[in-house]
Amino acid sequence: MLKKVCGDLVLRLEAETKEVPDGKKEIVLAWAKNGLECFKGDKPVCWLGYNYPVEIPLALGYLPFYPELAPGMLAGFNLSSGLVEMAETRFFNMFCCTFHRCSLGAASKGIWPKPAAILGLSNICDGQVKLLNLFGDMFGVTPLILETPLDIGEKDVNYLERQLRDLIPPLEDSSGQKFTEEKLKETIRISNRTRKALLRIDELRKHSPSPYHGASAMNGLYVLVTQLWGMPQTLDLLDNLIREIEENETRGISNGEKFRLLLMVTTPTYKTEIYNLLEKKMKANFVVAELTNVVWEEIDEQNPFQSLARKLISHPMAGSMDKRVDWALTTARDFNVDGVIHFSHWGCRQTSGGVGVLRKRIEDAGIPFMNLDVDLVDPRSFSWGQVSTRLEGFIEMLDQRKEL
Amino acid sequence: MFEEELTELGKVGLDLSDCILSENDRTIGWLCSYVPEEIIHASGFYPMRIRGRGDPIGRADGLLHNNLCPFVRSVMDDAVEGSLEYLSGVVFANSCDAMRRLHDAWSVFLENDMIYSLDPPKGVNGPAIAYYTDQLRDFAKALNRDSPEEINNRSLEQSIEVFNDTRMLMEKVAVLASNNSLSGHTLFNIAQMATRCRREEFNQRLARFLDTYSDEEPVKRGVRILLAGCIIDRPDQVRLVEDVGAHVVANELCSGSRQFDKMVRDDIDPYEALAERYILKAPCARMTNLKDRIDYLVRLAEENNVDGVVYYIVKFCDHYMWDYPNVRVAFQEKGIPVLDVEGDYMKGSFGPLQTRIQAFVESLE
Repeated sequence: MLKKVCGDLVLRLEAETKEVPDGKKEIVLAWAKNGLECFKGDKPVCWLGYNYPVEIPLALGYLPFYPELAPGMLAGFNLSSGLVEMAETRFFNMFCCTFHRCSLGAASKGIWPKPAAILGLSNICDGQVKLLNLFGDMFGVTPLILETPLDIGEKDVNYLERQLRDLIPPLEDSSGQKFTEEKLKETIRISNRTRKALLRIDELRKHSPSPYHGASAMNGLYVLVTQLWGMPQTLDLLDNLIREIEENETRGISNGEKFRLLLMVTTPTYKTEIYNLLEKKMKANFVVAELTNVVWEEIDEQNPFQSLARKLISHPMAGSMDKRVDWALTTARDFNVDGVIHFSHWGCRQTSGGVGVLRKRIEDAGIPFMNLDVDLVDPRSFSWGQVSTRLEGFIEMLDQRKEL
Repeated sequence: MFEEELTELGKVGLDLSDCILSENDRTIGWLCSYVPEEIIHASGFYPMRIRGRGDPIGRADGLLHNNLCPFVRSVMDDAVEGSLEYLSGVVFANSCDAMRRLHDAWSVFLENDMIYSLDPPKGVNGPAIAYYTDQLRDFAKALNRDSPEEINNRSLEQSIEVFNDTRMLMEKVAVLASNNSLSGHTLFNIAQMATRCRREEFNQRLARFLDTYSDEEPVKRGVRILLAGCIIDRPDQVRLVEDVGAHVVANELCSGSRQFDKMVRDDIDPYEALAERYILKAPCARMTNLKDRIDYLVRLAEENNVDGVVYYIVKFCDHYMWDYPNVRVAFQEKGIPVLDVEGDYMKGSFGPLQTRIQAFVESLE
C-alpha cells in the first residue's frame, strides 16, 4: 500500500512539476522517491523515531524511514482508518496515539519496508519507545533506544553523548558499512546547511504579509523537516523553495493576510477544509509551525556527538513544558502572531498532556490561545461542524481584539 | 486518614493506628517507586507515598488534559483542592509522560515551596546506574538546603538499614499470603501502610505481628491469582478480586509487593547502592528491559503456583497498555490464563470489572 502510494505520487508529481515547477510538490516527490528506494532492498533501511539524530545512520549508509510519521501520508490518501482499526482489533483499545496504532497496523500487514535497524529516543513520548520495541519483536531487530535526559547539565550531555557513540558498532554491524568521522562530518554539513536554509525561510515568513503559508506549504516543510532531514537532496529543494518564496514576495502575491497565527503540533493529516476556512475565507495564515521551526543551534562538526546530544536534550518538544512554553512565547513575538492554535492529538500525552500549562502561560503573556482536540490521523471522529465553529469563533475574537 | 485500612489491619492483629503519618509530622510526599525513600528519610523528613483520593476530577480537569492517566489527574485534583498542603515537599519522578506533565502542571498552578523531580533512567545498565547515582547525590544536596537533619553517608546508611528491614519483613508477609495464611488484600494493605507510617515504628509493629501471627490455619482459599499491572492503591479493590472466589496470592504492583523487591547493598557507597537497587529492582513497564519484566512476571506466577493472572491497566497508561500483547503471549506460552482489565483508577471503578473477573475466576475453578 505504501509502495503504491509512493509510486503513484512519483508518477503524478514528476509530471506536474515538470510542467510547472513547484517547490512544495518537489519536497513530497523527494519523500515518495525515498519511500520507493526503501522498498528496493539495495540499501539498509533504518526505522527512526521522531526527532532522532538521523545524521548518524545517514553517515552509515542507511535510508531513513519514520514509521511514526508515515501514517500521516497514508491519512492524506484516506488509508489510515482501516489500519488503525486493525491495530485496535489485534492489539489495543482506543486510548493511545493513532499515529502509533496506524503504524502498528501497517507493520503487521507488511506495508512498511523491512528495517535493518530500529532507533528511538526516550524523551519524545512513552509510545515511541513502546512502539519501536513491538516492531523489534515483529522484525527480529533489537531496537536501540537513546536514554535522553531531561536536564542539560554537563553530566546529562555526557550521558547521552556516550550512548550516541555506543550506537556506532551495532549500526556498523547491521549496515555492513564502516563508520568514518569524515562521513559524519559530511552529513552534519548537510544538516547545518538545511538548517540555514530553513532559517532563511523563517525570516521570509516573518514578513507581513507572510509569503509562505497554506496547506501545501505547511505540509511540504513538515515532510522535509521531519522525514527528509540530513539528506543531500534537501539542499536543492530548499534553494528552489526559497527562490520561489522570494519571487512570490516580489510579485506581491498575498491572500490579503489579516491575522497571523502560530500553529502548534500540526493540522490533521487527512483532508479537511481547515486551510480553506482560515486562509481563504478568514484571511488568517499560519505563518509559523511548531514542527518545522528551527529550534536548535548549529551542530559542531568537530564535536558531533556532544553537539547532537545537546540538540536532542534542548528540543522544545522533548522533556518538560518550560522549554515548549518558552519556545512558543519567543516565536509568537518574533513572528508577530495574533494568536496560537494548538491541535491536541487524541492519545498524545506529550503534546496534549501539557496543554493546560501552555494555555495558562501563553494567555498570561496576553496572546490568545485556542486548543482543538482532534485525532490527527484517523478521520472517523473528526467533526467539521465543531471544528469550523471553534475556528470561526477564535478568529472573530481576534478580529474584535484588533478593533479595540 | 486511612481509617478503613487501619481498621482492617487491626482486625488481623496489626495495629498501626498511632504510627500512621499525620499532618503533624514533617512529611515529604513522593509519587513513583523509583524515588529512593531512604534519602528523604535520612534528611529527617518522613517519606510518604501520595495517592489520589479517587473522587471525580474537579478543578484539575482544565489543568491536565483528560486523556492523561487518571491517577495523575486525581493527585493534581487533590493538590489544587488543598488536601496535600500539609506536605513539606513533593518529589516527582520522570517516570512517564503523565507524571512529567503532573510536575509541569504542579510547577505552574500550585505554590511550590519545595518540589523536586528525579529523572530515573529507563535503561538497565552500568552507565544508567552511574547516571542515577549522580542524580541522587544532587537530590541529597538539594534536600540538605531545607532538611531538619543533614544527610551524610552515615545517616544514609542508617536509613538504608531501616528500609531494608521493611523489605525483609515484607518478604515474610508475602510468604504468608502465598501460603494461604493471609489474604491478598491484607498483604496489599500492609504494603500500602508501609509507605504511610513512620517507618521504624512500622517495622517494629510488623515484626511483632509476624512473631505472633498464627499461620497454622489457612485463612484464604480459592483460585490462586497473581494481580499484576498498573497502579492500584486501594486495598478494597484487591478485596473485590478476592470476593469472587479468588485468593490474590501475590501481586506485582508498584504500590504493592514490587516496591519491596531487592535489598540495597551495604558494602558500597550508599548512593551507588541506592541507584543500583532502584534501577535493578523488579521493573516497572516504564523500563526498557521488557524481557526482564516478562521473565519476572512469569517467575512470580510460577513460584506462587498461580491458576491465573489478572493484569490491570489504568486507562491511558501507555506503558502497561503497550506491553500487554507481549505479556499475554508469555503467559499463554506457559499455559497460564491471563485476563486484562482496564479501569479508570477512581473509587468504585473496580466494581464494574468484578463481573469479568468473576467469570475468569469461575473458568479457572
